Amino acid sequence: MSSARGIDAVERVYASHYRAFCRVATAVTGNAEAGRDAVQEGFARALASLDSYRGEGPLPTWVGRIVLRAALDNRRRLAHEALPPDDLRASDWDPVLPHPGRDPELAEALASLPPRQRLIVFLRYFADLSHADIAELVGVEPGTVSATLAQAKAALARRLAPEEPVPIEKEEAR
Amino acid sequence: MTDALDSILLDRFAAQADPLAPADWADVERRARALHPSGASRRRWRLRTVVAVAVGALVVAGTATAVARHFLVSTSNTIIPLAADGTVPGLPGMDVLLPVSPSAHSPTAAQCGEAWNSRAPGTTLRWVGALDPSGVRVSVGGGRGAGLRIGPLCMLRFFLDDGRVVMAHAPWTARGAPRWQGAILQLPEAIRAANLRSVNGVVNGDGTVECRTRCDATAPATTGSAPPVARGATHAPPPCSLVTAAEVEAAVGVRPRHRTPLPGNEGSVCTWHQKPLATLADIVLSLQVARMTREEFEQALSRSTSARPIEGLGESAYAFDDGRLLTVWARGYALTVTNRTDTPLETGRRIAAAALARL
Repeated sequence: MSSARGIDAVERVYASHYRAFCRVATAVTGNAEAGRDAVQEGFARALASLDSYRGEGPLPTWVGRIVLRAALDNRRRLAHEALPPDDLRASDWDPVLPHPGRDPELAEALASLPPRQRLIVFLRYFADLSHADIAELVGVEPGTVSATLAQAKAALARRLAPEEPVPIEKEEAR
Repeated sequence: MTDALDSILLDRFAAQADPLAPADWADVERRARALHPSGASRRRWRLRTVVAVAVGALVVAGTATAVARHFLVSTSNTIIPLAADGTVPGLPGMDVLLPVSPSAHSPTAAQCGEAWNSRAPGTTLRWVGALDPSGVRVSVGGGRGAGLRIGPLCMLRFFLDDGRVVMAHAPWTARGAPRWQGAILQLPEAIRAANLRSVNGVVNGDGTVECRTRCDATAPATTGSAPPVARGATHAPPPCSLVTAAEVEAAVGVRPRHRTPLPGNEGSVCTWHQKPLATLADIVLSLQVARMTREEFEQALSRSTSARPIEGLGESAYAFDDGRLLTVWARGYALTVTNRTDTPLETGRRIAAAALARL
């Protein structure tokens, strides 16, 4: 895809996914500035390596993974972490709330989730990605995203959802 | 419950979000260029495309250049007709009419460069970058003379090795320079050489520019001082009242369907056109009236090398571009007529004579 048309296509992905990718990268790096820098760097890497894109998957997914790699690089640089393996796993993403102090209850609830559930919750509710986009980005079937999200929400409901009111009839019957 | 939890999660995650810095594609391209300076295969491909586009544009535009080279300007509108030999991808041509704010401030050349980098379309920036210009002249346009006023405008000239010049203009407004126009010109060698000496910036691979010298320069006397024609300008009669539609029809051969006055402090302009005014090409005829002394008139014209004196019209008259622009001084007024008919000088004479009779 080495052409001006390819560059235009990447620019369109940038225009349509900028906000979502910033959110993903912010969650991965832990702060908005580093996340945004990762998006810029990720798209630059995508442009510079456009020749290697063979259309093996949707372009936004291909770019998204490069952005994610840039985000992980930023996090490693900031925290002096070891470089994650090339084959990214959900546990490597390990998203965190940018401002856990604003909502300690949510931070605690998310921390209690398994890595894959936590990742998909972030992608769905923080990055506002669709189930299909999440499936592409994570590399799983859409059904898996739905099932994982359902499990995560069941766990989160126990911590975050308000007590369900007891119907008056049941109250009286007891 | 599920929907309620969805709402709760969306709300609570939304509270984590910081204000998002604006998207900046130009920054992405700069970083990409730094990562892959040669960009060999992609660059060659793009250059072939660009050359093909440019050649196509030259062929198409070749016959559509019969536009008078002059400026007709009022305070709130600027008409900048220039003969173009090609189009610039992503930019409208220079015959498109863009509004100009009567700004009290003129930008600096540096601000114009920044405006180009941040507001020019990505397509245009990439195209310019692929052309690999040898240099750029970043300047601020503006000035007045012969009752005409231009600017302030940001003006960029990209010099190509093949002798062509890519020109980009943008009226400077309170919001910077959000709207750019472009054209490709083949300048005479002498003019090109003179322009090359005034190059004051470099062009990056991504089409952005960096002003290096004379970056504090602003428009030459665009605003701030009293214009030479401002005295009594408000007493200049509205040009639309000086010529009837029948006279226009008799002179140009078609009856104009629209007439648009462009008011201004330095002599208003009346334009006649067949369809609603959007581009310079829509204008069949224009007439500008400005109040000025004969000395001011002659002084402004004396700087031109292409003005041809015309006898028997008013007290002093000059024609430009085979009569497509005709300017006449009589009884304290300068009248300027433009038209694009097959017999422009004769058409200009008839309109000027009709207007002079009502002054």
